[in-house]
Amino acid sequence: MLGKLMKHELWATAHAMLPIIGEMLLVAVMGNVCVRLGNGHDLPAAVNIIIMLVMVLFFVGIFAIGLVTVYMMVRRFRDNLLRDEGYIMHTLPVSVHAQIWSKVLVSALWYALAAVTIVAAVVLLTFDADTLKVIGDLFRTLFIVTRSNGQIAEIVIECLAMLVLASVTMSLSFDAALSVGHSFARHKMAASVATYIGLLILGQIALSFAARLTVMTNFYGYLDAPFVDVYAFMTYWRGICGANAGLMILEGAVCYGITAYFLKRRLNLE
Amino acid sequence: MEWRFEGGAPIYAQIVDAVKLAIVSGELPPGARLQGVRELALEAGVNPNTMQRALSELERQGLLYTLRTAGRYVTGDEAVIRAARRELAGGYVDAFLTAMERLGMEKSDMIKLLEADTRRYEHGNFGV
Amino acid sequence: MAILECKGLSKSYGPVRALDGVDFAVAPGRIVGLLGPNGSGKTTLIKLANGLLTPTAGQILINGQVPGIETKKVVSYLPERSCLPEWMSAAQLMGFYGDFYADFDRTTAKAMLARLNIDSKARLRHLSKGNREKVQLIMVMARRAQLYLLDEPIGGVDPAARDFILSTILSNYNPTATVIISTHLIADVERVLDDVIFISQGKVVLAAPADQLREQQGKSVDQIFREVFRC
Repeated sequence: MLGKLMKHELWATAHAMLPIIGEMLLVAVMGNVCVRLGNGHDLPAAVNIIIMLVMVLFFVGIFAIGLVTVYMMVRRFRDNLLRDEGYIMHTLPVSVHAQIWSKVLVSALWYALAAVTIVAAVVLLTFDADTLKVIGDLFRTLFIVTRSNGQIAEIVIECLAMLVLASVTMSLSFDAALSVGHSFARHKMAASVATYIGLLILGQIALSFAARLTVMTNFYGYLDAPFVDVYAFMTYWRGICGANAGLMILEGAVCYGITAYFLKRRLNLE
Repeated sequence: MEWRFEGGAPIYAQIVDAVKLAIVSGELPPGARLQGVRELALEAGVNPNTMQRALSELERQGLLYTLRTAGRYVTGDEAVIRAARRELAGGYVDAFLTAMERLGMEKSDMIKLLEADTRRYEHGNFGV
Repeated sequence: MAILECKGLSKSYGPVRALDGVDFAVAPGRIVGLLGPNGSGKTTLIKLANGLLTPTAGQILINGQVPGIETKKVVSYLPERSCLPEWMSAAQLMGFYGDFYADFDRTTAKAMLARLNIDSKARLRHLSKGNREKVQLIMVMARRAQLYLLDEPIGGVDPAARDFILSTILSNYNPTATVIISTHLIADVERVLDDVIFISQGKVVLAAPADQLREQQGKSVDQIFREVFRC
């Protein structure tokens, strides 16, 4: 049933997200045209203003698309599971776990696509004959480096994995806050925000304990080898990544537990 | 058949009366085939269980009979239909007398009244 | 076995007791009216049966099971409020219901939409409010479920829509399925009911076959309701 939920979830969110991504890419293409027009041409003031507006739109878009995606995913979770549509979703013969995973995995996908969109938009903006060469060189270098030293590729993959984990954890923390907040009879959004702040504070407290733990166990001392070679760096990198991943998994698990409990036992649809 | 339900009598009893009236008046002639329970229930806007109960009651009274697979039919037995007519008429007479007594009418007054109402005879509608 | 059974069922919202020790059982194949004034606990009871709420005390069982994935497979629920995603079309909704419910009968749904001249390609947002509600009823009644829970299906609709709703319920009725209709508009539904359950301030005050009540008291269920709930 998770597959069916995800199919539906993807369809429902694509509906809102694809236009946003499309518009961003369109603005980037327009920006590209503007850059070409503006380069060394004498243009009427009106055209210059339009060019400037497009550029402003581009940079605002680049910064906003991440936020908009987060907003869309949070709103989707609330509207689909905690408001009117919840009457339909929570009477489907599926488990609460499938409901949460479908939301989290599809959200993570859109966060990733938003990141890809930002990169693509920058490439589109600056695209000219040279760009292809630069991108080609980049990949070639990457290829040569990873061939000579596989650990570079590992680091890239681990970075991506950390990003995915971070987005999943972030989604779960929003979901937990919304689920708790909407179990109240009134002021559901205010209660959700308060819960989120509460979760942040708890997270900070947990983090300070973790920091104390690293001091007590001399975690960094253990890592503090001179970066004489790539292997020493890898040890350091793995230590940091591992510790962070552990904390994120812990936070994610706690948020998941809260979300599942409140959706199953404390659901309070209006 | 027109379906109208009112008052406190059980719905199934009102259906029994309505079907009986249709049979006695010839709207459902002897040997006519009835629709299925579901169709009748839908037409009357009542619960199929209630319609089933009413039709069973009519079968019990001999006004309807069921052929195992072919459906439900109006009896061909004129005697049974005549008896049903008398029963229905008795009910109306009963109601008429109750109303007249409440108005303070004597038996002789009522007879005079009935005989004086000749319009209905001329139209040939009085009685069936 | 009873299709729906409540045993000492209670639900409180904070200090407010919405349901207070409710006991009853509904047999398969019945059309049951859950009757009571607004705020008497009807919606709470139906939400509990759907697993949208958790009992404070007691139990609610469907086919002997507490509400969960297995019971949701056999229960078809019409909520009190319109809650379909408005960006979807009726055709997309049929796909959705068909995906999740093995008992969804697409042919029936299509036929009902066609009979009402509802464009199944149009997004719900572009339909009238009345037609949106009908689409929701069609999705619910096009399932071959064992238990239909209809919460206020005829509240606030015009007489033509009310007739459509009642005839849809009757024409999709199958003799082994149970239909529970919650409403405060008794006169409109009383002739389709096998049984009635009167509920007042979270308690069951009367539960009996409808015709038996009419026979014993010589009054319509509507009249009896007015007397029980006289203000």
